[in-house]
Amino acid sequence: MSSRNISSLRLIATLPIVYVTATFYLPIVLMAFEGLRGEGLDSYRRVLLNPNYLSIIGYSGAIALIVTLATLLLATPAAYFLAFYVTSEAGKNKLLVAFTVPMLVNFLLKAYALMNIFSVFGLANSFTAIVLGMIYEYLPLMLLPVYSTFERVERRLLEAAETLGAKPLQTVFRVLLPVSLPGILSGVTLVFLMSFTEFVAPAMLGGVYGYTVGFLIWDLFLKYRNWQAGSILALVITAVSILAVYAYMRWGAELEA
Amino acid sequence: MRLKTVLRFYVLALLGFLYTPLLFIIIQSFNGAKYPGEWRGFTLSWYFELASDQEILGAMVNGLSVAVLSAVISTILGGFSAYYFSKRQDSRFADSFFYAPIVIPEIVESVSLLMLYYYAGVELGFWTVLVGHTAYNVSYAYVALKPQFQVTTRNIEEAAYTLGAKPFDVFVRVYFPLALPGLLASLLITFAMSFDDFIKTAFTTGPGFKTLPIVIWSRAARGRATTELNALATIMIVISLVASYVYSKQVLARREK
Repeated sequence: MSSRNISSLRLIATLPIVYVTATFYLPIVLMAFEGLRGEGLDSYRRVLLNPNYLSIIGYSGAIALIVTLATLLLATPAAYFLAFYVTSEAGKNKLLVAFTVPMLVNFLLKAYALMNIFSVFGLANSFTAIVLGMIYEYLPLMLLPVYSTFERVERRLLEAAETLGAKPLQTVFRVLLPVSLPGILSGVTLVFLMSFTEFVAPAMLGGVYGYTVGFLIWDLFLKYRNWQAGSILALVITAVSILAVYAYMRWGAELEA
Repeated sequence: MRLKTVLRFYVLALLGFLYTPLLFIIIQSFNGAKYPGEWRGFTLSWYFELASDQEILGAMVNGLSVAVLSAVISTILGGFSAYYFSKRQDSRFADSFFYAPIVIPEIVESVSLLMLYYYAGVELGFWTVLVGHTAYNVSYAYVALKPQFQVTTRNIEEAAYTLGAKPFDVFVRVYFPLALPGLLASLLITFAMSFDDFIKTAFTTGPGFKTLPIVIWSRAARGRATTELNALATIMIVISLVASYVYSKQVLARREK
């Protein structure tokens, strides 16, 4: 390619970078400054040490952990079945489509349906309703990465374990799961991050139990107009997300090596 | 053998869990009673009401126009960057640059963009929603397109140049057809992200501009009867099912070739 082509290409390639900088990075920088307004770093200290905010962050973290663990435990056996017991390509595809279709329906509508179903069982506006709602939402999101790593595991490895006398459960826990850890971790990171900042499920299903950090930030901006506290909390969950992804990348890379 | 049977029932139960709310919506959409819990005979009247509900129809048109424009713009922008950086030796910086908007929680992106709009004195409505959706969609387009550009084209493109093709011809006759599946995937993902978006829309829209999720939220969250929404959801479920079925058939057919 000629150098003229390359330089015009470079010009065009900077366009998206300018766009994302202006509409994504600039607002986040602005948000960090919003937190400094008035009392400077003191306002950060005040918000970060506010026990009410801290307990809401802890509560959201606890919900996210429960949801992540539950979806992992629920999805893994299903992923195992899909990867190792369904032999025909068409059968696999059918099941994958079956697990994907619910994801295509807008979650607000599903949450509304769940709300009605829960009210039949007397579960409406409870902690259980939030957790069940999020498990419902994120189960396919956990299943797909776990399934695709299972699918890529060398069959010979599992056969070797069997030949060497390992019982089926031993093969699963000592060979299959350790080998698939990177994929499992990607599902875990994804579901944890999404459920930590989730807004719709707690707001629609949780009633008074629904006050999670996502809801808190929503209210601070749209209801209380307290942009400063809202900005600082938003930066906190940004930091948590970046840390989680960083940990996943470091750990995942080590596991791959 | 026994484990396989147990797992089969388990997977069926899991699918039952995922499809119960969807079935509930479908049944409810034909239920003569306005509120769930009782059955008052089969009716199609909610579908007729849906057809004459100006708020929902308007929201649908709004959502479609934002989603189509955002999908096209972000696929073009993301495509430029994906193309350029797929030719570079080291694109780790660009990868992280575009990866961040996917990783950072949507509520953070949304509140910070709202602040930027506020300080810039922009009036909220169609354009602010479009710009907001496109901010993360550029990243989804980049992620969807870059691997495609990397794998399929480099050698073939060089061959075309060696054989004397002009850059324009190479783009139209070689590059474009090869990148088509990736482009379609990118358009579909970005369209769906925008059309289903709730949080970013809620923060970046003004009083006059509603999309479907906003209407669903304002009706369902306030416990207003959502009978027409059930009819709408049923239509969307059927469309998703048919689309996934056709898509998986296509994929299977291509693999068998």
